Amino acid sequence: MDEMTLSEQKKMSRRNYLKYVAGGAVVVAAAGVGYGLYAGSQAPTPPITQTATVTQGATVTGAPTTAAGRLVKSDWWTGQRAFDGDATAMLIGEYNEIYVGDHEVTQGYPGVWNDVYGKLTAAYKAGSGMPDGVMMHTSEIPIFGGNAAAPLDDLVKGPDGLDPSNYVKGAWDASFAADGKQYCVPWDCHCMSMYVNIDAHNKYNIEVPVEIASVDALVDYWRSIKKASGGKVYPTVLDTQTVDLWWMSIANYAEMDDFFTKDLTAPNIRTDKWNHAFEVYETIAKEKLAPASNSHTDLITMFGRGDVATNIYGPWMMGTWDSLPALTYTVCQLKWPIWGGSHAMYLTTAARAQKDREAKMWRWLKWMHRPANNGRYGEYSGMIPATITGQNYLGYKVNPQRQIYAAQSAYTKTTQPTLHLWEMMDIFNAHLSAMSLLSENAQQAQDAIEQELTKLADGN
Amino acid sequence: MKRSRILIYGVLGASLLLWIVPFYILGAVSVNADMLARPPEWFPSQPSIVGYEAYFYRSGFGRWVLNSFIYSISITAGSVAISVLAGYAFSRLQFRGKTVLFWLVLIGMMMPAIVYYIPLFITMARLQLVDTYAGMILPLLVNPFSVFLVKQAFDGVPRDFEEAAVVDGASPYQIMFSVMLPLVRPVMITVLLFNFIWSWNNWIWPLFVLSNNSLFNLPIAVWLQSNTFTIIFQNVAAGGVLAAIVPLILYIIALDYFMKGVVLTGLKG
Amino acid sequence: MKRKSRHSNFSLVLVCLLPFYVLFAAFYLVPIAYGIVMSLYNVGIELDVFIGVQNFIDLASDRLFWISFRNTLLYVVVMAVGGFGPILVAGILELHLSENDRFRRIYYSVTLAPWVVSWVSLGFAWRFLFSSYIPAGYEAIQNVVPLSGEFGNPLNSPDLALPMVALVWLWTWFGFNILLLKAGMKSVDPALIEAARVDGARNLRIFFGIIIPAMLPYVVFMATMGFIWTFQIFDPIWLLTGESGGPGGWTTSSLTYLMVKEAKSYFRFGYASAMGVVVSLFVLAVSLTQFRLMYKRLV
Repeated sequence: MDEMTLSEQKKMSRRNYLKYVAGGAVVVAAAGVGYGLYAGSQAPTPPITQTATVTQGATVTGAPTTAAGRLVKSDWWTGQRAFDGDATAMLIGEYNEIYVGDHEVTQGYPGVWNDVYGKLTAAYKAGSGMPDGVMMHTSEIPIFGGNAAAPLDDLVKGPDGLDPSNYVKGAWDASFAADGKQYCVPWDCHCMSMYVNIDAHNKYNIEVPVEIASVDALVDYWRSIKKASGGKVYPTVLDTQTVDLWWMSIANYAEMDDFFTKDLTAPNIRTDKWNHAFEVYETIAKEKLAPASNSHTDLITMFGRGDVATNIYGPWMMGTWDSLPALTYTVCQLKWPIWGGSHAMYLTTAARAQKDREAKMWRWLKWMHRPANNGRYGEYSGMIPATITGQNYLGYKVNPQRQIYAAQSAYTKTTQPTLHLWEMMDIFNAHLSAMSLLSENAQQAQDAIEQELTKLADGN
Repeated sequence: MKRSRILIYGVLGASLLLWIVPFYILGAVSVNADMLARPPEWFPSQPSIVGYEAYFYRSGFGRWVLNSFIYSISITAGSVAISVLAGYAFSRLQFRGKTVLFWLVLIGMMMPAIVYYIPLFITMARLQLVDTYAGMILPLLVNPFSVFLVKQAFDGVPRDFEEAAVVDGASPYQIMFSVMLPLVRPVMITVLLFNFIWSWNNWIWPLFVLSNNSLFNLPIAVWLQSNTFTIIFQNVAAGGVLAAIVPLILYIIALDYFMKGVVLTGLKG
Repeated sequence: MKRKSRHSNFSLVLVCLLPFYVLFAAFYLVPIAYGIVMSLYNVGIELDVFIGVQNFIDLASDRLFWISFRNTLLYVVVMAVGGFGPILVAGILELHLSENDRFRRIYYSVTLAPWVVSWVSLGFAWRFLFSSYIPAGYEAIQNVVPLSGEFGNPLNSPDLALPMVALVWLWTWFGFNILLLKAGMKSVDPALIEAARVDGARNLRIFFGIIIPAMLPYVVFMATMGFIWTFQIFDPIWLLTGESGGPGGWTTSSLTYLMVKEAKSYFRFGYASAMGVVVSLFVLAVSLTQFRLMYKRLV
């Protein structure tokens, strides 16, 4: 009896093995299909093509370097994942073809910006895993300058250097740390400006503005939209749920230098201009000049639909607006010192530790900053090239919305770098969101923000 | 009796819509149902597969699918293999420190994963395993829940079979593989399925440990492509659909195993 | 080869346990220990400064920590209260509709579907629903029934955001829970039910008198695992309300969400680790108690 049981067990297990084998075959087949997809997937036709010959002297297709040497593979990290990230990826693809066998740059995506910073920090602390270069912002200098990010002065000022006069001044100046060393090279400027939904304006016979001279004029304009549309259209929309600095565009004419301080003392948000800014936020909430609260998805849907007539945001939104066929929009200049940041290219200490790696990464960086390349980046993504020659690149120059934005960059007041930028954004956004919901008034919000900023500064 | 019955069927049937609608919407938007329209469309007036093309023609899509299979298969195989061994030991073997070791398993089950992902990530950086296949796979081989399930399953097997095998002169390994394992085949299939689904769907650990585009699995790639300031809705929806296809197919094929599997998790030890 | 000793063959035990525990030690215990160590430091990019329990003291006065703790408990409460839904539905399905296998099978399989799909896909689907389709539905109802107010995306309302996220969480786990409870009901000896019916007991009486007591271990299991998993809730918060933690200031943030923010956005790895220690201790304390009660003899 027991023997029969055992042999029955053995039979069962043999049947099971067959089933496992069958299952394994299915799985292997599926993997094969996956691999087939991978092998057969074509490289995308890059939409980033050269639209005009460059007249600045440097040609796009450079001759391969005469520097003999082994293939260097470089990792390049970025937090840009939209049209801007695609643009740099395609430019990098071109570069890799030119320098095939010599240098291969791979763009990596650690995640959102905070993932980039977190992974860079961990890699630095672990002593391994650092990429050769990272796209960050000029505001990350106090965090990484001197540890993960290497100073670039000798390269910038060297024989194969860069011309500072070819860069937007505010962006260039912001790439220096307090110790006078330059830690990055600005790649683009992204100041805020105001997008205007033309259809929403035409529907209610509201004149589409080209430029607005002051914050008070802006509020009046918004009020006129509300009046003309009988309250059916929100004049504007504010993004309190995405970590961003939209609110700085209204407060921005405040004394910026005191706001972000390099030595981390609490910023003074009690100046006349800051007080006025908070009054404006309160006005927007009370007079319902913007919806009470919304996510980024809602901002897009509302502006796209015409439920909202304007929104203040960065040039990276142009890609999204361009992609909505039913939307006709233009850009309106805000003529006061406007918040602006810059994406900037950093080289890591890991890259600069080896001579040939350093040389090739610098060559790559210089190649990216050629007029046609920096220009095509702006043309494709909507970002403002940090190089003047890039801004003059024909493909970028002929786009009217891009041009208005580029003009806006003249008003850029770049933020001073601070370690706690993101946390400050969260503090502001939380209370401005509460204000927009009318659960806090200007006084309460200002008090709370001041308290939290002080606590933040004290904690260091 | 009849009327209340109809009412019950009606209410329950209607409640099913709650589970169908979200999936439907995801599919509809992915083929260009316009979310921005007033009212938003349930059927696309201009159907198009632009959203899917955005994925197929991105260099990397095939790679992401392949990686998803690589991760899921290797993590499943590895973790189930070691869980079977450990579960068998807890169920059938006697050794010192059994209680303590099993409590470790339980604690492992209860520990919130995110809590140790952060120091785990730094550990992986020290081991130079960040952005590697090994770094992605190795930590996920540890699955205390699988051990728990397997132990439960083995506990449910009457001792007679083993004793019979021992009488027949089978070695402990033979007992484990030829006798015990086949007897818990349904549970094992469930454990395999669950592990496959969990590792396929895992997007948080890849977010911590991977930066290289050619190592991404499908969910993290879809999330990264979609979670930007620039949101193109049909692309986002198409990504969501693509990430869900394999688990749903597996679910439909092995429906009974999934349903029974849920039941098995609750079996009293 | 019968072994008379109490303990099994040592090499066999080693072979069985070593693979799991080596990996467990390397990728579980070591990071957890490291996390505990980090919680005693102010972890900077260059320097780690030992500060003892300062992080924990700061936690006690951290407004965001308590808000997130409260929110997490709210999620747990919603999950607990919502647990009656599965109990009720499972009861109805198994008792009233016990002969209609097809309907029950369809019901179980459809409601379980969200559980097998990645949170990424679920997050997108619900985002679309909340931002466009649900407000449109409300507008449509308004055309028929005069309801007040403008209804926008519920995720933008500071009062509705957390309940919405909690409901999505419940929705995802509903299928799992009713299957568990179905198993509990099936575990009842049918003869017992028959006997009760013969004695003239009606369905409701049978439900409360026989079935619920039999289901109790399953309900307790559902409660325990539900607590453990809900306490860690992260995915729907991140996917539905993004990096802001909710409208009006941290209205949907849970403890794990805040932890990730502290570590990644605010560069406070040590502080985040301290939070992790507190969260773990709390979860362990509560769930170990539940386990003790449930499984009197564990091994």
